[in-house]
Amino acid sequence: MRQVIAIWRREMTACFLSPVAYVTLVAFLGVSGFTFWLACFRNEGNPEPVSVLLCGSLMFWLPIMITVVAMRLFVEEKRSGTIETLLTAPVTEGQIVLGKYLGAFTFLLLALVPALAYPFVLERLSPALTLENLDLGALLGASVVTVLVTGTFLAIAVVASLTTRNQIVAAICTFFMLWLALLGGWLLGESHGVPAVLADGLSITRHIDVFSRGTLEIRPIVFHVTLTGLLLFTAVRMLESRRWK
Amino acid sequence: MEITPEQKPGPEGRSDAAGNSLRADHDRRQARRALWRQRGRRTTSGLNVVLAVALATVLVVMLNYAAYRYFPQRWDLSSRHFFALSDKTMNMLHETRGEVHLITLFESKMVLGDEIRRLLDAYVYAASSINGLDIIVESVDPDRDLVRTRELTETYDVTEPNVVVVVLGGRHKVIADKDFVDYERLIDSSAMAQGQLRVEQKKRGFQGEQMISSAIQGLAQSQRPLVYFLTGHGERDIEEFSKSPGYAAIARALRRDNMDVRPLLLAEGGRVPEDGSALVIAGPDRRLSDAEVARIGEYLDRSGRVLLLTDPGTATGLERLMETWGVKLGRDVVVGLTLTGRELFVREYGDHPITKSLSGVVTMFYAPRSVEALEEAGATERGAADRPRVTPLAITREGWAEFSPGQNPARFDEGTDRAGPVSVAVAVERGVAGGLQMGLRPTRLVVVGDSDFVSNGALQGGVGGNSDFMLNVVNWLVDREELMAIPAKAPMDLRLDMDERQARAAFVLLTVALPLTAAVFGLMVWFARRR
Repeated sequence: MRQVIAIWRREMTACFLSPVAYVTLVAFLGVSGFTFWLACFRNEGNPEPVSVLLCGSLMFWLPIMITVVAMRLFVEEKRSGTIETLLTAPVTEGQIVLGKYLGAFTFLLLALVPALAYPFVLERLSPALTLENLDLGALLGASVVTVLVTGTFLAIAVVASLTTRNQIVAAICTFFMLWLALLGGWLLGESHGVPAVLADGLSITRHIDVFSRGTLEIRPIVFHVTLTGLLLFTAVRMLESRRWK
Repeated sequence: MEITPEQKPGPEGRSDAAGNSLRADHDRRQARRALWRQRGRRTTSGLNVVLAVALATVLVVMLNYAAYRYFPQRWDLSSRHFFALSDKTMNMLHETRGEVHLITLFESKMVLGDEIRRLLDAYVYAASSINGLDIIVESVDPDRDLVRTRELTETYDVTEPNVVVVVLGGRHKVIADKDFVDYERLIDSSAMAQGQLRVEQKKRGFQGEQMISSAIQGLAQSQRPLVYFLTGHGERDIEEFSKSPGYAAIARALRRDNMDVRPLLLAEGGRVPEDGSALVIAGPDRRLSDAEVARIGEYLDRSGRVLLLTDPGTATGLERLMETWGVKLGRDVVVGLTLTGRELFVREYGDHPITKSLSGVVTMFYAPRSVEALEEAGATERGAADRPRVTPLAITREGWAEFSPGQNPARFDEGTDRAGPVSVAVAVERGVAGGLQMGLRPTRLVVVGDSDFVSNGALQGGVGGNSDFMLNVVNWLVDREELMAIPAKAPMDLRLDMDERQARAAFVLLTVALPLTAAVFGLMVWFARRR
């Protein structure tokens, strides 16, 4: 556990000292805040809860944010050759993957925290919006699904980061896979027959919709947690296989 | 490597050359072996990764399947509980057995589609914890699934898109999208002064649960209620499609509400058949024989259910029978403040299960007669507990009871006419006292002073409440009123009501201030590192 914490701290520090991460953070907060502002004004008079609009605004830009944060996770180590040092250090591959994943995850969560203030800013300024209209339960649901989806997406990005030595290739792969995960789920939900049944469990857009309306379900939680675990396990095995090559 | 004749060594160097050649061969073999070993390791490690990930994937699939199959639990944290089902619905579902198919036939642009799908999802979730009940939802897009749409049209008599078909035990009910929304219909009085009828619809609530639960409950009943329409005295014809006298439209609406509708010639059969759930006497313009009136009276005494729609200026012979049930049929015409005076808009309803869902809905009657409760109804003949309870259903305050029907335009004559409030429809119930059911089945009677209000023409051009009023009446008569009272859920539309200054402040805070804070933090870190 000490090793995991050491790697986590190193990764966190790298994130917070990196100008790229700050530029990404500022851009993410700017565009997601603007999207939320626009969504609220365009949906005035419609029965859309604020929590759904908030979740939608964040999810739209989340793939870009995750891509930028995660693309350097392993690619940078490989490019600079420090991966060999890391692999020969007295840490297991599992500890390396977990430490790096948790470091990036913590940075992403800290970046998402200011976005939670968006609805309360509106509530302070709007004469018609009250705390009851905001529906704190639904906001909690929106927060839970944002954490779950962020965790899953980051795990996808970790695997993508292990497949190549080039940051641009890693970024393109990650971005493509994250949007495929979002759009694929949406397409499943729009289809009929067996895909529609699968969509109930697999569609990330459906999970976002259900949770951001204030309903917590066990199935999507199991889906996201197990998928994240599977992806991290894949990342560990991929890293281990380097020893044998 | 090949050795050319020029490179061939002399006899003295022959053994060295052979040694070199052997070493080179050996090195080549070694290098080839190393290459194959490396390739083999790569393939083995690659296979190892693939195999391990495949096994882990199987485990993940199994876990998710188990969660999908055995852990459907969910928690509604929202304060609105918009899609949570009421206790009434849950009780009804616990008593329902079988497989319920909910088929949505929605166009992609349908406004309420998502709301209704989420509601149906709540039904599926509720059924997942009830043994013996299975609820399956099927979504059909009429623009894409042409074959399935045709099947639905043929099987379930679906004539328009944007409906939900509820199927249970071979019976079905079709619910149109407009029925899912509770509208407040407001009459534009300025337009009415100019002789135009303009009704504004304002969305007041979402009554999806009421519609779906009522449909399931109705279909779960062992038999489809059979409603007889009396014939032989100039009554409205349920097979007649013409605009004014025809009743084909309302008969169709009743069939779609999972009821059977059949004409009845009372003179032939002797008495009202036992298989009938209710008898409708719709606008007779000739007198019924005394024997027929007596049979209807007997039927009522046998806990019968009767709906009488009677127009002004007609003597049907049922007036005396109605009086014994505490109902007085006025010899007048109730007129309102419309340009022609013929239409009477009713917005006020009595407190009754029939009218619970009609609050704010306008029902338009066409020159009805007054129908009111007789004071001390039946008190002399019956005990207080067995006395018929008469409840006014539709009341006008602005209108009045006109006793000079020929007057044109109609005006209120002090001393001759009677000012509002005047009732034009009443519900009578006997066998229920103080909310307690005294007999096994109470007698129920509804009397409306107009039969035009649900004619084909009225339903086509009416303001919308007429059909709801009639369906509610018949549902109450056939004991399907229980779920009618599930209240509609008020839509909580997003309201900001910001002025320009507030909107600008929100824009600055959301898109500039928060990112700027992060930027300042980043700059501080950068400066700290430089130092």
